[in-house]
Amino acid sequence: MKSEQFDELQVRNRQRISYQTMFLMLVLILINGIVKECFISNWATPILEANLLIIIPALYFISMCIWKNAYFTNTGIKSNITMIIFLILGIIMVVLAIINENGFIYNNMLNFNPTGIFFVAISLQYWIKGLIDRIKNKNDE
Amino acid sequence: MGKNLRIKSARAEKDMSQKDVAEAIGITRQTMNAIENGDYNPTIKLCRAICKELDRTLDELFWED
Repeated sequence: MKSEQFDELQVRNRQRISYQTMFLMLVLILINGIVKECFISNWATPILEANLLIIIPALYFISMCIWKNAYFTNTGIKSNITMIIFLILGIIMVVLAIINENGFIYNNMLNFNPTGIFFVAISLQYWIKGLIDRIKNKNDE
Repeated sequence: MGKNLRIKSARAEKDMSQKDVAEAIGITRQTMNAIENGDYNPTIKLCRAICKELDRTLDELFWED
């Protein structure tokens, strides 16, 4: 069993979250289609639109995996360095998005790249969950 | 499914924490905790691994009357 990356409860949780993520993505694509067809033909540039449609489900998947304890492998190796990089990268991207001279809305279209928020959110959740787990581990011992 | 106190007592007899057992059989502490609390019904493969680690039989740890 040691060779497996995730244990069976983690695999079950990941499958469940994957299914929910797929459903969320379908709903978002449908909403985007309805909005473009009925209300605003262009609410964001095509690349930003695609970005959002990828980032929202990805953020949901990773967040749920972190909170359901299905993100870290069962070996206990946690990717602290990756998360530090995520946090720094995320903060830089958020700052760049905020100081964007065109503002959040430009030409009646959304002009805010949310990728930075994605990285910061993952990183923060990782640290918070890690802290909670450490407290719980101490209580169990 | 209620709490599995038999695993807890077997673990205590061997002076092992949830983390020790979990690491020995290659699962997370949270999964071990879920099994003990009756929140997760493990597969037979995992049950056998727990039994081997705690030197008990399947009946002793998992059979419910």
